[in-house]
Amino acid sequence: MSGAGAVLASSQWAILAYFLAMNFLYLALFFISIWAILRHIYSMSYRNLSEISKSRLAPPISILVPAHNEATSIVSSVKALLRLNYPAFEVIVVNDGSRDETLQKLIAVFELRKTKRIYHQTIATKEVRGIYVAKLSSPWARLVVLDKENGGKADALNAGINVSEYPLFCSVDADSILERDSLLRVALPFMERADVVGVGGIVRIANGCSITQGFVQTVRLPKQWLPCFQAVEYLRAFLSGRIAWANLGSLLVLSGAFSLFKKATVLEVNGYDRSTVSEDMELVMRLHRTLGDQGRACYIEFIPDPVCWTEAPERFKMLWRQRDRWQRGLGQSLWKHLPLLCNPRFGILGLLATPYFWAVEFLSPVVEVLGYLVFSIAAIAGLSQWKAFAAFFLLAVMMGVNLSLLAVVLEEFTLHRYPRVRDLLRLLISAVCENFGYRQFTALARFAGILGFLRGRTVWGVLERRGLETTA
Amino acid sequence: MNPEIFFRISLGVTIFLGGFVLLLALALVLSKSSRRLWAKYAEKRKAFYIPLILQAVADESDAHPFAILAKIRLGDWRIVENYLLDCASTVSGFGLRRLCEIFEREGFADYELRRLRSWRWWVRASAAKRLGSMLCHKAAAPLTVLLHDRSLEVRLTACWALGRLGEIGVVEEMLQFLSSHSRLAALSLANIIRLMGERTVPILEGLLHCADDNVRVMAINLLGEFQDRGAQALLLPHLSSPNTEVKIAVCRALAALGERSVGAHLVPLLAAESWEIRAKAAWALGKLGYQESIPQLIVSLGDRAWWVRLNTGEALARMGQTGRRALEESLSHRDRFARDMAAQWLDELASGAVS
Repeated sequence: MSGAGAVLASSQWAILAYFLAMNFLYLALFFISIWAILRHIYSMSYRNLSEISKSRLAPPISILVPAHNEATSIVSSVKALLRLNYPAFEVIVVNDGSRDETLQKLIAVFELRKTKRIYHQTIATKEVRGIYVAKLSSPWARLVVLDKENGGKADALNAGINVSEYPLFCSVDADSILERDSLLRVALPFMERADVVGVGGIVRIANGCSITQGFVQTVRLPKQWLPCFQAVEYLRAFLSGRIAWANLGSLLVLSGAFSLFKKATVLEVNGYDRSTVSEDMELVMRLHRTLGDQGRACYIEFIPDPVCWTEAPERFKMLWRQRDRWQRGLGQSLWKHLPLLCNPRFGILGLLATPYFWAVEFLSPVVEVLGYLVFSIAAIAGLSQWKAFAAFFLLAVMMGVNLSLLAVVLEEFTLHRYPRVRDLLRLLISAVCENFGYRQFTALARFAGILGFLRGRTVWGVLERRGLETTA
Repeated sequence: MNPEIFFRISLGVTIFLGGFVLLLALALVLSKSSRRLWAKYAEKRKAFYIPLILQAVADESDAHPFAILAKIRLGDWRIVENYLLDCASTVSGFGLRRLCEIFEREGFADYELRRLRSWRWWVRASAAKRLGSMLCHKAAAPLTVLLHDRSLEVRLTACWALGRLGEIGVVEEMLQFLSSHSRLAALSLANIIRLMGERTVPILEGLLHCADDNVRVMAINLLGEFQDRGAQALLLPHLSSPNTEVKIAVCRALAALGERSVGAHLVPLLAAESWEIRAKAAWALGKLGYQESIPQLIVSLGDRAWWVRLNTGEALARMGQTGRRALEESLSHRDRFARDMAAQWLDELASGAVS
């Protein structure tokens, strides 16, 4: 066998071994998740949410909504947020130097006035141009709008933290929709344990759902296949990985679209980092690292039922941009907190979670793309035995099908958010089909993200959105 | 390397997982269809039992005391019990009393009491909830035992059930076993004690001497909520407690009680070491409208902690014309931060944001 042939053969074994190990990890995470979800559901049946919603002991929450050129959806989003079911909260919209009419619309609809409130810069941010509030007698009295120079999402969130009044803050994307009880549910871990620092909730795809007045009225799957595939992908990511890692006390990421944090602890680590494109993951990793260094507990929880609905890209170009950015953000966060890797001082987080994020979440697109290349070349050159090729197909594609199907069945068993049989069937079909084409496409986009990370690209990238109110 | 090994392992794993998914899917379909069938059957059988139960509820004479059980088909036990629970949540007075009697005499209470000893926590919690809903007083003793259960859910449910039964005797035990556990437990407990009403005030007053700070904080908060003026004298000594939480709770309770004269006891707290206490004291003085504290509040307007300055500004803004004048005078305060805060609160006053 020639030198190139030997390299090709050994890379085939390496790729197969990688996929085998990865699938075993996925399986282990799934089984942990199943147990955790069932336990959560049983516990929730004995929690009295209406009791909490009326209580004065529930910790008040500041909802932070960074908004940059969100004129089309901001008013309905804010109205919906102000109608959430929670005893004490405020909504802080941070207009991050929008060039459209975001601020003007907010001022006009909510009858805001500019105040002389002092902007207390606990965390350094770009210049704040003004703080606007509604009249005390108006139904929007809990709304505060902060107008500032453009500084990015992390900067806007930091500014929101600076003006927030309450001990907990919840970051919400301006184009996302929360369920009415989601704050009640996501705040529960903070009431159960004193050492909880952050809590995340499940994010689902809103495309196809009927949405009026900022709330999801009926849950439906989108008609297009691309968002359907993403719906399955989200289910797999949230219902297995995040729940399992949270259960092991080693969750490294909370979605920026919907997560709740203890303000005092976030202030201790100086808020969000403005230099990364994945500020949500970076903050969680920094919290783990800083508190771990100080020998303090840092519990980041994830609960499956508080739902945040978000709009998924419906075009391949937008999807590419999104995945490219996510992968760059992942790389930046992991690289910045490299000392966590294999560090026994951080327990499971250092010895299992961080290596998993490096080897599986970050590097899997490289191995996957390489795998398709190597096996194709080997097949063309006649250097691959059919059993090796079949093993690759089984591990790379068929196991993916199985895991996606498992996620859908698990969702239906436990949370059951898609009431129509038609939608369930569509989800099952998507779970199979997404492994043929879609998955390879996202692997390529993520591969490009890794290249971008290596080149030091920090561009956020614009994601075009249709707006959720019209997706019905 | 032999590809055979990889092929076999991957095939085995894929088939195993595929089989597992298939089994789960099958279980899902079976459970869904059996639930649907059960719901249909339960609806039909409920229609049969409703007249019997309503007749038993309406019949005061006990002439044919609760002959429902004789007519219960094997398997309908849960349907009848669920209906009784549903009914109990919608009625009160005589109707509720009769439903509870039926629950006990027909043996449902004994069944649930047995379930309280189950090894599964959710069964124990469910039994406790059902016994509490049906006001089953003979469950008070076993429910009190459940306050020590290893599961928080069971402890919380037992606590709720005891509260619904109005078991004042166990309030102290409830507080001691739950208040330090979590905020959620404390929240639930506070609601339960609120449900029991002012009858618990003497017990809460007694708990002010408890060594556990968590218990004391909760007792102080609840006394404030019950607006028990008699508790004021008992609360004041706790202003010198070394525990920050206790001091804050007393400030809050005294503000809720609304007796202006206690303001004099709060003024020294404006110089406390902890900024949380200074901020809460300023807030409480504003709530009480204690104008005698204005000179000290003007000093606090230049406090090093932003929250203290903010609360002080609000307190002055709440003190009517005298407070407004103090804020106006503070516009020439030597401290820049105090001047800014005074300007902010004058602006809030002008906009009607402070009443």
